[in-house]
Formats: sequence, C-alpha cells, structure tokens
Amino acid sequence: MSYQEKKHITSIFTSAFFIIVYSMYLVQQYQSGILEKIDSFSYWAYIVIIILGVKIGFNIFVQIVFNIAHALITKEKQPSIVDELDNLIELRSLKYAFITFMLGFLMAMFSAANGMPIYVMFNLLILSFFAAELVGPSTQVYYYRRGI
Amino acid sequence: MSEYILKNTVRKYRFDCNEMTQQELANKAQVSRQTIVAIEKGKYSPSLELAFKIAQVFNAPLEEVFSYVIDDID
Repeated sequence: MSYQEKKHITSIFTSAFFIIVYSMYLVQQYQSGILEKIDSFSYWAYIVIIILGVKIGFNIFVQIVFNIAHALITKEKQPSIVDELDNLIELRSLKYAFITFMLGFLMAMFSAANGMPIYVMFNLLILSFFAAELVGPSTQVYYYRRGI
Repeated sequence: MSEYILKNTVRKYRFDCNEMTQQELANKAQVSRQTIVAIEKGKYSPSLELAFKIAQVFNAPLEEVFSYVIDDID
C-alpha cells in the first residue's frame, strides 16, 4: 500500500470517528431536550465555527502523527513530488466531496424553508461537512487502487 | 465489441536499460513511483508531456513506448 493510500485511509478513520462522536453527542442532546430549547442563530453559528476549527486542528494533528509513525515504521520519506496523477485524483475527490456537501447544504436549506427548527439546519450543515470529509479521501483511495 | 486502449512497453524498456528500477525512472521523469506503477499496469494514461518524458528517458520514439491499439473485449 502506497503512502498516499495510507494517508487517506487515516483521514477516512478520522472523519468516521468525528461523525460517530458528533452523532452520539447529538442523540444525547436531543433525548435530553436541550436542542429544542436553543433557538439562537448566533449560538449555532458559534458551534459550527468551533467544530470546524476543532476538526481542522485534529486533522493536522493526526497527519503529523501519521507522518512520524510512517517514517518510523517504514523508514520511508514522505514523497516530495506531487505529480499529475496526484493532482487529477485530488481534483476528482474534491468534486465528489463538493457534491456531497452541496447535497447536505440543500437539505439544510429545505429544512429551514419548511419551518423546521434551526438546530436541524445547522446540524445538517455540520454533518454534510463531515460526510464531505469522508467522501473526499474515500474517493482518493478508490482511484489510487483502481486507476484513473 | 472493440475499443482503443493505450498500451505501453515501459517494463520492457526498463529491463533493457540494465533493469532500471521504477524509482529511478520516476526520478528521471519527475513523478512518483506510484505513477510509474500505475502506468505500467495500464491503470493510468499519462499526459502527452509525461509520455514524452518517459520516452526521452529511454531515448526511444514515443510510439515505441506507447501505442494506441484496438483491444478486443469479446
């Protein structure tokens, strides 16, 4: 398995971990009835910013740990070249990640248009962001394995 | 049913060049080893520029390294 495949599989696990943890947190909050009491746009906007910041920070941390672990275990250097195949695969993965996020965004807007509570809209946005973060690296692993 | 596919003789040329490794070819063509692996396996059709670079490394005409041929599926 190549460096890129391992790197993207690590990203898949990171995103899956975030989806599971956040979904469990949401279910817990929903069951306790806290979600329905919060009816403030600024609160949810603040939560979105915090979650995105934490996710990006966690991603960077995981990639640093992965690079160190990979170098120690395999004694291989991180590839310094990003060539046309890498760029092409990245472009395709970005496309699928973008489509995933857009679907979530549309669902969030439909929920708001239909008068559903604002926590539904914001959580759909957050979950579609996580889903896009899952689809991107999954697509990359698929294309590295299958070819393009 | 038949369709055109891009075939290559990169493996043969590497063998003829004193068993040049995939990494050596990758370094000379300025791509990653993974890209060379994908090209050799027919999983990736390189750009015209990369195809020319690979042919230049082997000092061979492009059409001898890469060929566009009919592949009979049935």
